[in-house]
Amino acid sequence: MKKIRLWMVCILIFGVAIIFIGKKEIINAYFSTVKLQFLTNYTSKHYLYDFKEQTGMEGIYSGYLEGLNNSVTYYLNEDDLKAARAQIKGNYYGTGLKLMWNLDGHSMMVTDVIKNSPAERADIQVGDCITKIDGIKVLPSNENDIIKKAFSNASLPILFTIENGDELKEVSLVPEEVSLEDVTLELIDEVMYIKLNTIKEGTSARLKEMIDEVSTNTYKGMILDVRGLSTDNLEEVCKISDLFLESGIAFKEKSKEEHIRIFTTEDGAYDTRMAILMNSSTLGGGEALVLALKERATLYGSDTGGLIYIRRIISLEDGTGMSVASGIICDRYGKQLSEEGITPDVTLYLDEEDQMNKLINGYISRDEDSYLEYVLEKFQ
Amino acid sequence: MKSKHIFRGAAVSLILGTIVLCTTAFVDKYQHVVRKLSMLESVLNEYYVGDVDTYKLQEGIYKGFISGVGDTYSAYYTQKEYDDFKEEASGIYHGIGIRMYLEAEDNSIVIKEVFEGSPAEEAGLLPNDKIIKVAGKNVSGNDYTIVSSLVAGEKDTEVEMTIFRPSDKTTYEFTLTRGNITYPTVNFRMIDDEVAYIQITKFEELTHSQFKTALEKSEAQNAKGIVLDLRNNPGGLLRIAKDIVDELIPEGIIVSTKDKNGKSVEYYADNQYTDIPMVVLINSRSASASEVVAGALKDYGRAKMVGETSYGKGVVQTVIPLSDGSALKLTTSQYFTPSGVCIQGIGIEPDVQIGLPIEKLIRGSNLEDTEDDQLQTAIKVLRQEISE
Repeated sequence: MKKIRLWMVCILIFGVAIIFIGKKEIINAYFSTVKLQFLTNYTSKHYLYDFKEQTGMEGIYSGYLEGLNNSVTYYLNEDDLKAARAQIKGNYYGTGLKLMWNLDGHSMMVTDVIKNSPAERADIQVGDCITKIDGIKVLPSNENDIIKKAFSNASLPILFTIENGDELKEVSLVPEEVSLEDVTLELIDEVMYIKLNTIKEGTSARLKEMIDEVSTNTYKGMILDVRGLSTDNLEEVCKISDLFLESGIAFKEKSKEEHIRIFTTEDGAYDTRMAILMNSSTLGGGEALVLALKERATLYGSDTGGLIYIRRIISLEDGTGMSVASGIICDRYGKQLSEEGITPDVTLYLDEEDQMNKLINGYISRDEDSYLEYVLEKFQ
Repeated sequence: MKSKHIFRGAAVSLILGTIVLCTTAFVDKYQHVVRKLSMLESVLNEYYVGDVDTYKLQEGIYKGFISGVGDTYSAYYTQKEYDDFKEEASGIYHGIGIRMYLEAEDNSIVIKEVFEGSPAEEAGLLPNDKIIKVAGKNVSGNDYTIVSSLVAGEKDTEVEMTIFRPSDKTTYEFTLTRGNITYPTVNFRMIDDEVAYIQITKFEELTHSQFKTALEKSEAQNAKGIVLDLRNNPGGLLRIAKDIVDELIPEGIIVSTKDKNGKSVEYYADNQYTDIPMVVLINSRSASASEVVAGALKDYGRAKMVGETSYGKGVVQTVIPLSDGSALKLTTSQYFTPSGVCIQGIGIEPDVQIGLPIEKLIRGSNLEDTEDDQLQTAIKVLRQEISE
């Protein structure tokens, strides 16, 4: 009697355990625990270097979202979430260095130093050559490590080794949020040259003030330079377009389940002759601005980037977050922005000299800006 | 009697208890991962405006896990990626036998090369033909990335292609039958009566036999020396690189590898080889298997290295197929040159340093021999070797 009861109890416990385990497997619809466990075991046994299972697990969230293959939907760890929030506001987050690989593959060159950034305070110049980052040599074989370190958003110092000819110096920089100047306006040869660098709350109001200030002077027209303009702030972009459009629809945004949001403009506009300067780094909200104004202005430059998605930054309860494509940009007729971008009315090419300059120096200075030169001439 | 039962009962409960604890701990390990994934999923459900492919999301998890390991060269391959990888490494693929490039000037896809004996050659396709339609789809430069998948397909199946031939300004239509195409990774030509030029672009299954053929052609043409061009060669199969070195050096060690546990494997050359004077061209994009070749030839004094410091990839990957058709590529060992050096992060230094100016670097492989400073230097060094 005792024997039978004991075995019954054992079977009961075993049965409960099986149900318990089975229930857990069914709940996991995301991946096979068996497969993941195999990958973990094999890697820790055979991977040449040290393998930390924890970093592998962290990679799962990035990998999951990368499976969507959407350029603006990705995982943000705590540090990257900080940076993303700053960028959504229209600010910059980082050390302030824009870098480019030198063609010989043995160093990176500074192509831009953001104003008021840690890099500017440390006196780093455009043209400086970086040969080591945190002690790692700048070589193609170290590319991934180099990029990760150079553009890390963690609040930790990054050591840059700069070699210009015989001169060697080491500079330590900590990434931080830097406020960017959103819009500048200057009169060149009686033409209003407006450069939109980024979009923030109130950019449209600031722009209106700047235009009114110079309106007392005579001017032949305006050039709106949106090269390099990338933003998700469609509300502010609509307000900017409103300055130049009478009442109507500027553009639309399509979100989940075909829901459409219409961005409208009101009466009252500056009706001066307008040229828009754009290129492949005019992205997202920058392209929405072009869509709104394209019937009112002449478009110069090259095809825009075709970034059709507007992103939202979402925080998760554990301090990490994600960027998610929450809307698709459409023109006023409801037609989606094309991933090939918007084609200009007048396509401009960089001449050979400018191309070489860009490759050697990484940028084109105002004096060498042949697109601007060309468009200015059109107004004379 | 009672104590026997109690003992047995206790033993069984202990065993069962341990099993339950181990399995729940095993499954519990992923609990927080699953919880977080469901958080991400609910954000997607609420906001994401695109399409969701749950298969790709799952594959993304394995990919993310392996890339979380932090090694550039380790990766998880989905089944399709593994199939493509196998095809590429085999040097054979199912297609029509053309190499294409994107002509930026008019945004068109142009045929650069038509392989000897291929279906494309038989049908009459020529270099410089512009591809305007494939398998019923009009294509332009914007479709460059998908055209090769349209052109490739199962052996003995057909594909329709329409091309525009600039030389006679005529459009031609072709129906081609796909075959097994051997992708040439070795290019041979005589630069002049004395100097042979052999370029290896990658180390694939068929590269060794293609290299042997090139050596035979050099011999047949009475070449006095060979320039072996490994510039921009990203590497490939270690075994093939070793076979190629074997043709060129007498008995001795070619390369050795060592894994995580210190286990060492050595590759040796036999005593059959050709001792024709040789110079090797390398640059910062000569990597991995190319560096095994360069490293061995340099250590034996078999050939001088001309050009720039090579890439610096001294680690070897193993590809492990998984039961469901996917695969894991993992860095599993380091390799050492005959002199015992691991070149990871360092590269191989040239004996004669010569770079190319930026204007020429931009033009890539479209340089004439006379404009190729590195090639000209290599030829000069070779002639010196020949005369000694």
